[in-house]
Amino acid sequence: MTAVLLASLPAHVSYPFSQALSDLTQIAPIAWVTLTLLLCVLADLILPRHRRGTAVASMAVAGLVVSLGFAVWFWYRGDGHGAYAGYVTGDRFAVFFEMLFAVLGILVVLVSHAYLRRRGMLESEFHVLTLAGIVGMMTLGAATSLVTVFLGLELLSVAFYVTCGFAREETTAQEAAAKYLLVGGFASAFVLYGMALVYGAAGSTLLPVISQRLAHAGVLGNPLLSLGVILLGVGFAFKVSGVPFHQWTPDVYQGAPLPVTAFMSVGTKAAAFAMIIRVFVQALPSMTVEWQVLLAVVSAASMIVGNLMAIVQTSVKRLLAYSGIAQAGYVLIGVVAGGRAGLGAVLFYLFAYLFFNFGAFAILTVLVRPDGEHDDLGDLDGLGYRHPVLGVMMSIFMLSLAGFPPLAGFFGKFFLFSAGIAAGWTWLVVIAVLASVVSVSYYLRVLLHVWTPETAGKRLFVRAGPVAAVAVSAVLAVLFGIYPALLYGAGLFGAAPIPGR
Amino acid sequence: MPDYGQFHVGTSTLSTTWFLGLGAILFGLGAIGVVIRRNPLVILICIELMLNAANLTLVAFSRQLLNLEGQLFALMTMTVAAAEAVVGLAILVDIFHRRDVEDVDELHELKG
Repeated sequence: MTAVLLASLPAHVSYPFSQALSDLTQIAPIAWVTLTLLLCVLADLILPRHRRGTAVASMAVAGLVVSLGFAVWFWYRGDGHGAYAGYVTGDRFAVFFEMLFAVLGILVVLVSHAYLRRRGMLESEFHVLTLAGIVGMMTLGAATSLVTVFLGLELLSVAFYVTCGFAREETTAQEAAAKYLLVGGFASAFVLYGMALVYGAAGSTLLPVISQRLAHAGVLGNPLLSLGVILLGVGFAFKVSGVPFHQWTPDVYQGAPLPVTAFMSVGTKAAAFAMIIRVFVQALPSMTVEWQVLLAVVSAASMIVGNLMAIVQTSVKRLLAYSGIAQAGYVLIGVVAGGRAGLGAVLFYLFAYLFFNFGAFAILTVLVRPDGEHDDLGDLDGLGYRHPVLGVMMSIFMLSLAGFPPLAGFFGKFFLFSAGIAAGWTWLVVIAVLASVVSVSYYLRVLLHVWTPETAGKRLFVRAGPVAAVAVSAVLAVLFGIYPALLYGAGLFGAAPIPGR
Repeated sequence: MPDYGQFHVGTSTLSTTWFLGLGAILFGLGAIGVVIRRNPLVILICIELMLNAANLTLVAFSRQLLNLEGQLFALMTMTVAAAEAVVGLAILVDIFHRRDVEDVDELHELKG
């Protein structure tokens, strides 16, 4: 038996240095963040206690900036290809997500540095875990094998299990961590079993090979394969917090520290969409009918339930959690529609969403006091009068989330919905449009509180780092609204490596 | 259907289907356990059971297809499952330090 298996391997494996270097180049942005992570752990050991936090934060930002530089460089070279025996790739799709997550990482470190100091929580550990999450997310974008997809997914999930419960003294944070751990682990198990069944049907874990084998072989009637696709769909729906697998989202978002919520709401979602596109669109085009119906139902349910539930919330964190569920529903339209237009719209929306959703959560950190977070709608009262700049930026984020022109959110929805109509999913787009009309009510309710004339409130906690992050987000949310072609073009290029149908 | 491999156990032969079936049963038991058991520790154990059921399926397919990728995948999964168990136990122990949670329904402070 062993002899047969060994005979399937080449007689001797030659892996010259030039090949190793070329493989490493393809994943340079990911490798660089990993290296930064290790150096941060080292610095945490060496440096004196009071210097650690700031030092590790600056190292993390520097490392992410270099990683972003690598990604931008590879984007313009545009000659990325598979590496490590086809397990990862450096194509434009991967590089697009590497840029997205490097930017996100920088914003997260900027916001969390001030936040953690204010709350007196451990800092360097937090940044190390943030970097681990970023590595996992980047891996999901670059993965071209079921093995790497699963490793990326787990790397990001395990990092978040820890950071969700980072405010260890609070029972709510502990509860959030436990809920995320149990639900996330459950979803991962579904994804893994689905992958095992797909592997069994296709005989390979490499996504392009799976796509090829299933296109020709007579395995399509295989019930195991259909079951595998359904299990994968359920697991993915958990990860993007699609209805009916969304119950964990508001609780975890509310209990986790604000920078983690901001990170998670954008990062996990974008990474999960990268994974869905890689696995469903790239590897399983022969099962399109199955997963399309599955995702369309999840999309419609998410838009309806997310928007209706958001209306009755009083905590801004929970409100934004339900809004995120609805937004995931909109983005799923692009995946269901498929093709270059649909996937380009998905990439556009994910990148734009990064700025306006992250910004909205980041603004809430000015309300943080040493005794905890204050995220009720009432706590926002008069924010616009006490700090007009922050008020204006919060308005930009809310209007962009609601989809008002000329902000990035409007064009994001426009591209998604037009791709949906072009692909013949009119009923889905009708639901989406009606749902976004409903959503305007709760986004404007937040703004009503922000612009309530009231100047005597608790002191705001305004620090340079978070304000810089919020300002960059606001500027880009406006810029991509005024000049959407800039990002939409990038989205189309990013979607190009995924074979269309 | 692809050609199923045969496993030789002593003097008798077993087809891969048995291993796949065992994997499916273990996965189902784990999933049912997560849904009906209330103790967070038991739920964590059930999740590990599901992961290992998937591992068994991967290895069985690997043997049947004469393809080593499945075994590689299973090795990776074992590492991941270990990491997840470590973090999971740490989180749960931290909660048990604070209060005695015997039922996940006692974790209900977050709502709105």
